[in-house]
Amino acid sequence: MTPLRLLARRLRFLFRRGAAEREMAEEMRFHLEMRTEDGLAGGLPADEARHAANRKFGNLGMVQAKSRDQFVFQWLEQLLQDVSYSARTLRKNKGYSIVALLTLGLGIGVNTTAFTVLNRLLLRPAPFADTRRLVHIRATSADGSEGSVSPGDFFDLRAQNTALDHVSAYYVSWLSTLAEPGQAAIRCDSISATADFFTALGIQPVMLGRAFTDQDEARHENIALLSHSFWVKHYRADPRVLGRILRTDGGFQYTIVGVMAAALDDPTLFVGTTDGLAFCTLMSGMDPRYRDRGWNSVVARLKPGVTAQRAQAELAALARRLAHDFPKSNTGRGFKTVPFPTRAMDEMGGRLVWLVMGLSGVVLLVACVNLANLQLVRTTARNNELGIRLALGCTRARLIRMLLTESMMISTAGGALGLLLAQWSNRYLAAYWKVDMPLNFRVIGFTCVVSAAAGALFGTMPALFASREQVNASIKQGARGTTPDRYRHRLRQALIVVELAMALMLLAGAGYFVRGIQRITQRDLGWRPEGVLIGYLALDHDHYGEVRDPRSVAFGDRLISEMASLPGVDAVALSNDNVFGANPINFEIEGRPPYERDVLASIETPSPGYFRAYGIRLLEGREFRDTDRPGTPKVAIISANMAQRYWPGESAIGKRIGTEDPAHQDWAEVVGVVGNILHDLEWDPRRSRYAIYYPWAQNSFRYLAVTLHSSGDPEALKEEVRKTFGRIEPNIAFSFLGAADELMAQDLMQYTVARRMLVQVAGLGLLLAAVGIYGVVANLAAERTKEIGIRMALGAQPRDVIWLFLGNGVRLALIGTGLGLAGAFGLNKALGHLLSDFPGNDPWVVGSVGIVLITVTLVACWLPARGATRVNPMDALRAD
Amino acid sequence: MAQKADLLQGTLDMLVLRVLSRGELHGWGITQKLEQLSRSALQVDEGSLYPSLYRMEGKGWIEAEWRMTGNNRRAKFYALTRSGRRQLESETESWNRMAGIIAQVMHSP
Repeated sequence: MTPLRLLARRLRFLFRRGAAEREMAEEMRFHLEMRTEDGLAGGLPADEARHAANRKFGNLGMVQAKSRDQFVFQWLEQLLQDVSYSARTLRKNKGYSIVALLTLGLGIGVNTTAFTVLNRLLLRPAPFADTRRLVHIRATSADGSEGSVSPGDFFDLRAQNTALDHVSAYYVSWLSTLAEPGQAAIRCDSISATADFFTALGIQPVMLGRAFTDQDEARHENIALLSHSFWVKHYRADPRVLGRILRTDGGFQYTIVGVMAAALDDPTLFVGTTDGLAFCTLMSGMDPRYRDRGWNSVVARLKPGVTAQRAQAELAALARRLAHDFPKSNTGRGFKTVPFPTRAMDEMGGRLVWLVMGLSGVVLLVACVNLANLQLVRTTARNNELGIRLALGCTRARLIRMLLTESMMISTAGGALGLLLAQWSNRYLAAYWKVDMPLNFRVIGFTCVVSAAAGALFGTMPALFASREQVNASIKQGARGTTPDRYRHRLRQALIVVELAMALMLLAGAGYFVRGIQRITQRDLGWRPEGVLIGYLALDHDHYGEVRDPRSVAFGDRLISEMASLPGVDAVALSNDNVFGANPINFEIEGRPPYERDVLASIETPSPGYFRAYGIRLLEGREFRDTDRPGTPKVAIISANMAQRYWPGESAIGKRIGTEDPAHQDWAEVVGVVGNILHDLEWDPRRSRYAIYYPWAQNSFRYLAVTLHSSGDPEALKEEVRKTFGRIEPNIAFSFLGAADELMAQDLMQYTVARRMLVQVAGLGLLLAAVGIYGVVANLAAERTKEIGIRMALGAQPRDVIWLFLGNGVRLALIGTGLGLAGAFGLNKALGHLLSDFPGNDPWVVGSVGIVLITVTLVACWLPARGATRVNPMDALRAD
Repeated sequence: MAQKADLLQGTLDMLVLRVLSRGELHGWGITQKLEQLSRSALQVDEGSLYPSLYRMEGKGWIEAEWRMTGNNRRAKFYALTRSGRRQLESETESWNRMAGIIAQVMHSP
């Protein structure tokens, strides 16, 4: 018999049960008849012959059962039986089924959503070959901080090592501008990399044209590769793009030699890009003698057979040699290999995602506890049925399997619902991160595993309990309708305690982050974002020069005067950067030793209205004036923390500071001190970076940030500003024009999304815990209806009965919150340790969460208790 | 009637296969044939025969077909399949070997 026919037979037996059974019966009847005839032929009377045949055959039912066992997939059959039975039970208990389904669907949905984000942003492998052998090299300083690699160090790394192949440097510049003749500038992300960058990554870099070669690098060729998406968007996928010129920052011109593979379009691939790469230029012309600071990231591939440890040891040796040869720049500097960072999020974002994942897991646990409780209640109610099953010879294993099948069916349905919910919420998350959030096989696999685990978790305990039932006792007990046994009672109270403790830790953990994120988003920046409109633009090189060009100064003067006359505008300023992105660099102070390499200040070059526009407080001295112009004495304004550091106890006014180049020192006199501001995502005012301001007119540059402050809504000003600007310079457009709030929101995006997710997760957790506690207490109360009736009949006052319940509830609430508080403080401590930079710790959050939970428990106890006291004692006594 | 012997554990399948190797038979026929071939020394228990038949059908060693018997009654006839014939050969072989070994041990001085 071929396997296929065999399977067909088995399936026939499974699904066409009736026919197969009939055949079996007929076959055995034939056998019996033949034996009876045999007996008749032997001379026995008809009756006796039939009896003899039956006796000989034995118990027909047993023979059939044994035969059946041989024939079909028994487990499958029993499973189908269990499934159809469970389906019937669940259909009958619609209330239970719906509650269970929703609880699990929400719990699993939250987990699936969190996992989708985790999977997409943190777990997705980069499209690079063998990422385990890909290393990222960072420079470390004596204090342990990590930084980029300087050009000099890079060339030595490349030349003097035997452990690494394809040592290559790159940097992401996220504000590079593309200026096509006759077209407005476009802001886009680009990478500048040495020739073997893509070889180091192990990726096929180009889909059209050619990649960079070592010869290109040796000849300092100015060449570029376009990204696939950029090529499609701006060149309409024209293959004749090869050989054309790409003009970028500072009048550079690159010949386009190729188009990159589409896999490199992924915006999460390179740290520092936001919308994905636009192009990649060949890095050339680095000065190998420059070692003071670095801006390059360095990647390399371990040579075959070389371990990461050996590479690390070799780098350490090189660092020691360099420190010996170049003590001024390299003392204390080391090198460290880290995995290639390809995540869309920074470290904090990554931790937040893991946290959301972890808290979602707790929510699911709470959901499981709820369902375990419900199941316990139900199996108690089904005591009779289960006892009868056991009495009729159902094995305990079979009983457990039957009950587990039911839980599994619910959890499977819950998983399906969870997937639907995740599908829906992922659409919003994808829009936040500007990436696709696919429900791929990994996510679906995750959901399946989680659903099965949840089903097993909440189903196992009640099933074990039910099967432990003493047959006798359960049948009798059920008939008498007394309170359930102590054991079960205790177990359910323990479940409440666990649930309370878990909910408290969940809320405290979420609260830690929500509070921290709140502190970050609401911190005192030292400047005021309200009413501020910001525009970025790049003047074109041919008409306005690069640096300190009189044409750009004149243009700036006109721009300021025109913008200042717009309605509602009370301050206008120009600068080269602004509070969102000032470059930190080294500085020197007259009369002091040369600059400290690791002490940086943000350099900003504002026009006179700047401090007013941003609301930065002037603490001492004066602001810039229109008279601080090219040709007049160089002046500077510094931040308060810098004045405090260098001139404690005296005035900084009149002191002189300069840039890091001692050979061409050009001291500027400090004329004012302003308040500290927080840059980027700094949140701790005590650690805000130093800031140095030089007047714009003395340092004009063709990249401009225009800042306007108005009394009204900045959004409403946008059109006027665009129109006015168009009159002054019709050939240039803003690359960005929007409210400061909008830029802030972009910077804080991962925090706000994380906060939203955390609040939702924690809220769901609280809701589930509250419903669970209420359910259990209400059920306990219902089971004690008779007792309450007796008490009331004997003269107990409603108040006493309520106190009886409240007392019980308070005890549980206190134990649960006590455990939870201990856990929450431990958790807070661990988080504070783990994320020392994160301002989340707040004992008030934990405390108030505890109060909320105690309140919820008390209300959950009070409601059913009050209900119970309203029962007529006679009805209660008669209740089954 | 000769003395009845209990079937040795695990030998029923082999005996049924042997019987069927001589031609198709229904369940009743198999019990008759076994008694006949053993000169009534073996009594096959129906409670073991049918599970054995179904098990072997499940394994694909035998296949069944409903047909008419000689006296015009419907019965389910079992026949050996190719894999059943192979199974019989291998069981016979190992049985012979085992019987030889046991005989050798029992008859050793």
